Amino acid sequence: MDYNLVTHLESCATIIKENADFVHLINYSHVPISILALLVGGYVYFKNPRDLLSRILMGISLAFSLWSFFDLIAWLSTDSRYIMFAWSMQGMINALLFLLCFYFVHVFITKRDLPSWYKLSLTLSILPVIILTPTHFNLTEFSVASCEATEGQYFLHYYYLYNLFLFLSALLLQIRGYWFASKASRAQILLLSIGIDSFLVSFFVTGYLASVLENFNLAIYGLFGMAFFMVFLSYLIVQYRTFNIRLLSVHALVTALVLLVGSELFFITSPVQFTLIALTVIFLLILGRALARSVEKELERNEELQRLTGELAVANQELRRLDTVKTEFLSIASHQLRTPLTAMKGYLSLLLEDSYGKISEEVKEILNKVFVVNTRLARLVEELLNVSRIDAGRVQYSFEKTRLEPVLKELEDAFSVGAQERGLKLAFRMPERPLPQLSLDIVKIREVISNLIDNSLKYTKQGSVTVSVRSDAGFVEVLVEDTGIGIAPTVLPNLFEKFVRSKETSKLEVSGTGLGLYVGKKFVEAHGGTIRAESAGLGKGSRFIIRLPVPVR
Amino acid sequence: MASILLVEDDPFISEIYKKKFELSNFTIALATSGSEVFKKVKTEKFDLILLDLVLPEMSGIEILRELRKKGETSFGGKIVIFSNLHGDEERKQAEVAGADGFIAKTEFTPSEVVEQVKKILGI
Repeated sequence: MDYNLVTHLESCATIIKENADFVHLINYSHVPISILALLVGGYVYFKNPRDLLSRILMGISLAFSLWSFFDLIAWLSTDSRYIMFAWSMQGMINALLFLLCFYFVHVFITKRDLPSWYKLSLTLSILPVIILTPTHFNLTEFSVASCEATEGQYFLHYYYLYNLFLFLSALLLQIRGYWFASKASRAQILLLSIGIDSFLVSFFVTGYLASVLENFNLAIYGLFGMAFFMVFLSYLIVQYRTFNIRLLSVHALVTALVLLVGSELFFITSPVQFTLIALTVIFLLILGRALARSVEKELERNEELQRLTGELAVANQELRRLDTVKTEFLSIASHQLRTPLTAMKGYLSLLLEDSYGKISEEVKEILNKVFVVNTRLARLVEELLNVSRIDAGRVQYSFEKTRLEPVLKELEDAFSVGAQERGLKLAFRMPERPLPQLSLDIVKIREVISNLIDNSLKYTKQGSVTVSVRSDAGFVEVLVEDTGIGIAPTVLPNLFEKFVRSKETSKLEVSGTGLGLYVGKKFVEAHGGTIRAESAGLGKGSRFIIRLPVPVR
Repeated sequence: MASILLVEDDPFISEIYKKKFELSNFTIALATSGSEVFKKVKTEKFDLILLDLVLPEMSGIEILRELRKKGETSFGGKIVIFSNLHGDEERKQAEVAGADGFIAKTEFTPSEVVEQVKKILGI
């Protein structure tokens, strides 16, 4: 450019001196607002550097700050070369700023990038501004007297029209976006619109008026619109987590404090005060950072907790569903397993009863064996179903206050004949005084005691099986003792586990699944009681003790 | 002799009990589902219904409730649940719904079932 430029102009220095108050205002309007824009833009950008919207916002912040920077130079420099350079750049940056704002609004509302043809035409239309920036079309001359540049009217009006077009397009987008948006996003669009429009309108109007009226003092008021924009943007981020950022109110608060205190630095002349304020700002920054971090950590913990709670709820629901499935499965399995066995039992019974005509003794003997085997299988199925029900937590107990004596009497009747047939002595020793009432599921307890007596009879070749009862403070014990094969010390600790059978038992021709004691233990435990086994060793008999608590009145 | 309606969807089981009850001089009719039961109850007369629990369409308990309700499908005779599901829950449900007895299939031979039925009918 072939302007007649000078490094130091007295006229400019005089103007600055005469307008000292106004110069202060310039500092106040340019520096803190630029810092605010850079802070918000930078924060959003570094939280989501890949997000298009964050990038555009960063671009807006940079362009704005650059514009402010050049504006400051234009205002405060006394070197006409700097003034002219800074001034000449402003038109281009101004247009770029509007372009970016339009782009921002578009992406914010449509959630999509601009189509390429659109981008191309926007680029082409801003090209004249860029190309003409270093020419006389931009700035025609520099007036030494007023320390101002004279702007080329065509250039000026071109980019202001361009800006107007972009602003109106953005406005249209906002209105359309608002119209079609859901209720939740409407509030966000409205907030953004108020923020960005107040910036664009104020920036546009004051800038245009300043240029047309050549009263450049006006232009600086447009900058406050940016502060408005940033405040609304921050509110969006905090309230709606726009940009997926958990920008904490603490961050915003600390930043605001630093800005407020920091801006005082521009008005202070005393070095002591300056140092004090600078230290305060540094202090605030450090403390604020620590505070923000701790709050962020707390927030992370909260979110983690929320996530876990959600997962837990889902898992819980799934468990409940599985539980129902398990119950249904058990019920179906019970039915399906029992039906064929029942049919076999039925046919065999009919055959054995000569319902299908008389059959020979030989065949009958065989059928009897089939009947016995079938019964054994049926019992095994029942035991397995019992175990499944226990493991699934599906056993239902119905407790009632009752005494043990009738059960024992019943069992004595049931077993005495069998014992006699095998040449064993089965003795029931009842206490002299009546037993206290217990809270019992009588069916289950009968099954457990019956199982123990059955075991003792099975595993005792000769001698006796004795069932006795004793009651003490707080409990009643049922003892089933025998003179049978006993239990090896190695087996004893695991006796009540699933599928455990003493090795010795296999020597005897006795069928058993090793499930009876497991089921018994579970049933007794459901009564709040215990079951244990004692044996002096192999061949020395065994003793099983069920202890049931007497309910406290 | 008394007449019985056996509600059972398993063909083997119904064959066994049809034979056994006939040999024991009962008149026995068969049904495999709720709708059949309601049809038979309307047209024929039975002293007792032996009702399985696990059935297609309606469950035994549902049929039982329907039979014990006042209305077209109401049945005044004895109803005995006859199932190989015999947990406490099933027994309780049956009792509440108005069954006169509960025979666990797996626990009895056909002859014993006949005895049970006779006992319930008071024969």
